[in-house]
Amino acid sequence: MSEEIEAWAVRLAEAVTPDEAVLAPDFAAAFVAGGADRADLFRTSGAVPGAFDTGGVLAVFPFVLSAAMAAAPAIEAFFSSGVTSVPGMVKDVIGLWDRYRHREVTQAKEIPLGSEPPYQALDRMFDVIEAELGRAGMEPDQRDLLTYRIVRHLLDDLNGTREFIDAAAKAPGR
Amino acid sequence: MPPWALFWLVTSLIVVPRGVPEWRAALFDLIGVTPVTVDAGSGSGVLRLLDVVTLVQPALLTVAVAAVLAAPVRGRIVRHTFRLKAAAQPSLVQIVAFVHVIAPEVAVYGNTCRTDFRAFVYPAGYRRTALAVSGDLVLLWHRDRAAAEAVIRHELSHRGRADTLLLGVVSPLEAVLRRWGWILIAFVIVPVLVAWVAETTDFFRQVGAAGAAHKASQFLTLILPGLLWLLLAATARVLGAITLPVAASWSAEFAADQEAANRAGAAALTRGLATPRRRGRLRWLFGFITHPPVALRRALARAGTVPQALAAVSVYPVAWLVQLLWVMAEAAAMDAGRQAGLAEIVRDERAGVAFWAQDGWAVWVAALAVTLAWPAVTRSWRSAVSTGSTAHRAVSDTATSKEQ
Repeated sequence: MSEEIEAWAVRLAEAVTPDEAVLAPDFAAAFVAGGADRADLFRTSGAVPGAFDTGGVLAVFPFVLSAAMAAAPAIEAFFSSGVTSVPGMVKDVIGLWDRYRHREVTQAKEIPLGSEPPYQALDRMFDVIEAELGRAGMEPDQRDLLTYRIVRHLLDDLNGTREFIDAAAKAPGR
Repeated sequence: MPPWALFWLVTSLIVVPRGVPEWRAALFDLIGVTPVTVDAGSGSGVLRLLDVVTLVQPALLTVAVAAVLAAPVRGRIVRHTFRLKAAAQPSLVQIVAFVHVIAPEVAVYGNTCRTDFRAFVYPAGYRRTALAVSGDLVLLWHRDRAAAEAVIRHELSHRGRADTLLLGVVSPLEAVLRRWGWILIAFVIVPVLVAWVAETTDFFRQVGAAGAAHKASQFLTLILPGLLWLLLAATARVLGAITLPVAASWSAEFAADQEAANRAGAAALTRGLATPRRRGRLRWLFGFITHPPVALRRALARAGTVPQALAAVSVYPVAWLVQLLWVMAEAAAMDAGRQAGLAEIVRDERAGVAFWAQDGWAVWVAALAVTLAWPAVTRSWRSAVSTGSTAHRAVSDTATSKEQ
């Protein structure tokens, strides 16, 4: 795994799950390696006799990486949809986040979904990442907050995001 | 604390000869040595599969003995299964340094990518212990150092009681219980239904379709209730068989908690136990096979080391009463399955309890003797089962007193 991906993982963890930043390089390396290494990140084994088992604890960051990977097509679609200013778009994420959280109210009035392809791709990114975190068993409140932070960081740290996705895509899946 | 797992293993092996005739008959029947009776019907051969349920108990005992005898092999399997490696990650190196202050001879291996457990000790030989550390412990090490140290102290305290060697007996129990539903389907439900279908087919050949109403009635009033009672009896029998080793495992956990609370503080241990759950109900239930409920452990940690010690001493004797309940449940289910009346069931239960008391008193006296004598033999036991554990206790005591 390249140093750039390692640094990207640490920055992502610091932004999303700061408690787990210390293991971010290990988690990212295992995810990129794929196969059994990646599977280890998501194991929910039974209790080990004599172990200090406290009920199937799992770290969150592996699911963040998984969500980033799952959002790869949406990220690609977003950038191939004619976006010219990434920093400007990052600022717009905040507005989009508000719209996403209150979509029933604002959908019709403000930015109609489907009328602007970049927003549509971003919206899909939110959906995919939130669904992936949901599969990890996270509570809706935690999911909402993490989704926003992940999307913002993925777009903010674009080179690292792309390098991570390219590297992880080459590995055998989990 | 007496090593109840060893006590269970020894007392179970002593009474093995009493179970041999039943197990031998079941085995011979299963493999076809015993001939099928002439009038048993064309599908009766498949009923031999019911013997598998009878053989679960001796199979568990055999695997338990093998797990202890093959401890070094078990250690290598654990290391391979959990993909444990020597510490390279900086935080893991710090953890190793802490472990070696308390127990220099304990090898420490880790897999920082696994976060579904915190740490556990496993045999690296008959008297040698290794500690497995996960990414979750590394995270705890950074979040709450005292809690992480309590977890490590809990684990290291297992080695002084030979839990590392003996608690391997619990693994097969968990494996069987996880698959118990499938075992019942494959070796009880399917054979009974197949035998009934075969017998019904024979019946129709003899009397024609006119017998359909009789067979439907027979299925609903005889076969189905009988099958349900059989399933209950088989389940009660297996639960009765695992109750004592489970209690032995719980006792070991309570004792390790007590030692960790003693050295690292009850508050740190409680925080070490306070982690979110993210597992299904069945997984949560199976967790009780090897560990007492976290809520109970936390309550005992808060209550102090005396209640923890009492729990560690008493959980195994109390389990005899629980085992009695399973024995009674099995007997009642068997009686109900052969449509015995209530009076007959009550009579059988009374006889069963009397037999249980008559059968168990020698073991209870032995358990009492072991419990009373244990304080006098603890030091010898520790030095016999673990390399350097007595010296490490001294080092650990010194470290604790310096901390205080």
